Amino acid sequence: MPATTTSRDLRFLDPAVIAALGTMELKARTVVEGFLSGLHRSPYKGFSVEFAEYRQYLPGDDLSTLDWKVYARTDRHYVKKFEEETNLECHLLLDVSRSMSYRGGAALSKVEYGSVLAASLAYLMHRQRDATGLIEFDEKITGRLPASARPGHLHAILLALEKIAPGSRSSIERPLHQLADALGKRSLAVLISDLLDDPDRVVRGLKHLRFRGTDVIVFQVLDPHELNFPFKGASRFTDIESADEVTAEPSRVREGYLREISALTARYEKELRGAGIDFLMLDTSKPLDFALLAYLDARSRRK
Amino acid sequence: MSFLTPLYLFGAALIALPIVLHLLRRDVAPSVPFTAVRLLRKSPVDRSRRHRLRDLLLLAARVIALLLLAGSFARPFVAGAPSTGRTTIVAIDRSFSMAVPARFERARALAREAIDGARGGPVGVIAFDDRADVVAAPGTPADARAALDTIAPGYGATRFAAALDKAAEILADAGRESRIVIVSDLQRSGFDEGGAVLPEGIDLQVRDAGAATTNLSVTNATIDRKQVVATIRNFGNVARTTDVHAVADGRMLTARRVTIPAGDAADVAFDTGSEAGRLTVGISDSDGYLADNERVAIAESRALPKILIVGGGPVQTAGFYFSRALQAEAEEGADFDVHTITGGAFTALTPAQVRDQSVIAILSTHGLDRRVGETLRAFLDAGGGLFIAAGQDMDPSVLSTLLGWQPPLAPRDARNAGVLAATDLRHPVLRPFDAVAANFGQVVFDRVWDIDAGSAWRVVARYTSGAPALAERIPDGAPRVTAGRVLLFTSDVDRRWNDFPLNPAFVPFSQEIVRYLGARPPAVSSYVVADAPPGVPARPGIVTAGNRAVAINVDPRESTVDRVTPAEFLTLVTRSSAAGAPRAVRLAQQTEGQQNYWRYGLLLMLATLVVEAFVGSR
Repeated sequence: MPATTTSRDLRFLDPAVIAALGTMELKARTVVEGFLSGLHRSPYKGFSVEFAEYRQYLPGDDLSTLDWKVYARTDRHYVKKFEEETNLECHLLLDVSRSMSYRGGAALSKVEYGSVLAASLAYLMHRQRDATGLIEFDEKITGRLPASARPGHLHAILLALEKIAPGSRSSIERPLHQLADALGKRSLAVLISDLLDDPDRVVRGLKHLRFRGTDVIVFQVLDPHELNFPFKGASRFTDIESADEVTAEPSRVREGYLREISALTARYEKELRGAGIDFLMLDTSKPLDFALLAYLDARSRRK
Repeated sequence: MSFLTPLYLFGAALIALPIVLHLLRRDVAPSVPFTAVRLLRKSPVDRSRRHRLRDLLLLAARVIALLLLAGSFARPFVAGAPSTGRTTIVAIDRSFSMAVPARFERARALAREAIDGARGGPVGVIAFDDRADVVAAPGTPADARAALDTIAPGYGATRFAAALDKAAEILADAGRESRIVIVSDLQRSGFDEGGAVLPEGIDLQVRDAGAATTNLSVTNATIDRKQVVATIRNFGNVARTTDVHAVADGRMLTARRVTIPAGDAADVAFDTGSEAGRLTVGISDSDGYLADNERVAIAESRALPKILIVGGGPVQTAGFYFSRALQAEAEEGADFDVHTITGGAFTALTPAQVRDQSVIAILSTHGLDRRVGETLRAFLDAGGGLFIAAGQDMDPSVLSTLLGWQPPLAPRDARNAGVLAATDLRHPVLRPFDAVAANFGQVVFDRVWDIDAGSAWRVVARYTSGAPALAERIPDGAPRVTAGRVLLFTSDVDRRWNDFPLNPAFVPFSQEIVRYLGARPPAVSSYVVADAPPGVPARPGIVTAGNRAVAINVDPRESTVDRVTPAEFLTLVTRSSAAGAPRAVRLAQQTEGQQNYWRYGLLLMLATLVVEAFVGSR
């Protein structure tokens, strides 16, 4: 997917910048506004016209729809374009298992990155008048906010994301089976997880969700250290979930590890896409715009 | 294997560091929290035998490198290897007692025998009397034999300590098993000054080149106005009769025959008829030592340094305080012969009369004319000292003209200059005052000359007003060795401009000034050969040293015939273990310096580190 934001806007999507911001609401707003700002000026008008509340003023537009705040900020004329409220239900499924608390070479841990992503999506959905819900899970569902489009619901989601604490070990399949029965048809589920679990069981759970008529987008969130394995010197690698230990010389095992992690990601991508599930692997050191675009893409196709 | 600095070997304990690190690293790797350990486990974990071998090689390389470093710093050497044989020093006596017919030839033969007995080791040759000279540094026997032929008896006296010291010094440098062979007539007087010390470990051998003999010697010769006296001593065991003849100022005096009992001495007096200056006394003694058959003497000068004070006023008052200060008597009598004259009388003096003075003090220019200038400049060129004090009778322009000073001295008349303060306490005039220099602070100077010192004067003391008080003239142009000194005191010494003459510091101040300007006590005029002034040939006779005549004679202690046996000689030489210890250290240093094993150690260490880097990068 091509880049859609300028370098100036990317500054607001950079995880290092976001990590320094205060509340989750501020983070989400910064990400989404920055993203949309770039999107308006981007050549990809397809998304913009279909989705955005703003478009540039054209002669003949009703002046009451002009957004004077945007004009004050940018010295350009934009008109607000409100869409009909939909009855789409979006469920943000955030993995809060202990492996998600890992932070290697990035400014944010995986769960922090996932939280900002979830908050940004919630913000985006709220602007779109979609009903948005949040489900946190590790080996079981640990927190749930039902989908709603009420004005105060976004705040509740953001508050919940702000208070997320690391859970226990991962077992993605079980919560997914539970959700498959609970979520209604015509809903969209966005799974944010590192997917460091048994791929067979993960895929089985997701297929169950898809089988029940739920559209699914999967974001696999991985740390740069998990992707590149840059360690040096003999080390005792300790699993932060299971406490398993492997003593190894990184230079000797790097090649094999990278092969394994690539194979795992490739397998997810192949099997999930085969099941009609959108899959995107995210590097926690990279900006969030890919994820937002992936969501918009999926939503547009759904309409 | 020995070590020059074994304490560095404690540095080898550092090998514990890589060993401990190796042990720690083998079992404990740092814990790294991670997530995908499940994927990692499937990778081959590297703990192969090959890498354990690599670790051991690295450990070995690091331990070896540290051991080599510590060993190199400890400066290893192999004691006693390689040896090129024993070093022999042959020390041959060249004192005048060796000049007895056939004695030195016998000594030379004994020395050759000693050289032949060197068994292939290096041989050096020393010739000694009062001092020892290296005639041949340790080398081949052929060189030593050739050097031996160049030695001849001289006029010095035997001092075994000089020979032993020099030989030990050479052997310390040679640093091998060593031997000293002394070839001498073994006079007991050779030990008179003691100090015959030899480090332990050096083999000392003695070859006796002498034989029982008799000797008559002129041991003393003095001039006492119109009479000269010679002392003749018989060192033999039987009474001897000899003719004593004397030459005074080139005039042969009537010879005297004298009989001297065994072991006794006799004084022989000659009337010269007039005061003699130079004397040579001789005897006939073909059996004994030839060099002590004659003795020379010159009349000792008892003249005190002459100080001439040139004053402008009536003779009885000019320079009164200054002359009295110089004539203040010490216990042995006055140090200076002081005369005071007027300027007119000074002008009438001949240049020779002026040159006869040690120091001239000019306290007034009254009555001086232009001729005086030439005389004064010649006096200064000949090394005379000139003291100038300011005063109401002193005209600075006349002074500048007389002495040819450019630019002329142009002092300003200054009042209330304060007290005197020493500027340069290192100056010879002020140095004796040192802690009591504060006494100058009690003197009040009402009137002084304020001169501009510039580059022509070196200021020694100033008044508290800042004006120079005592200044020394810096010679014009290139410094001349013979140039006399000029000191200027910028106030008067007659109590007209100050009360300095009443101060206790005035007498020593005045005396130190004339001493510095050249008024020296009479010089010694008689020396033995060993103590002759520099530049004078080391042989008896009357010679000129600098601008005076001196008498050089042989040391009378060498005239004795009392000898020691070789066995007694060995007992008279003190063996020094204290001197031996440093010698052992020097020997070790030399051996280590020749072998330089530490360099190989460091090179090996570098090679080991290269190997370590290579293995470590694999």
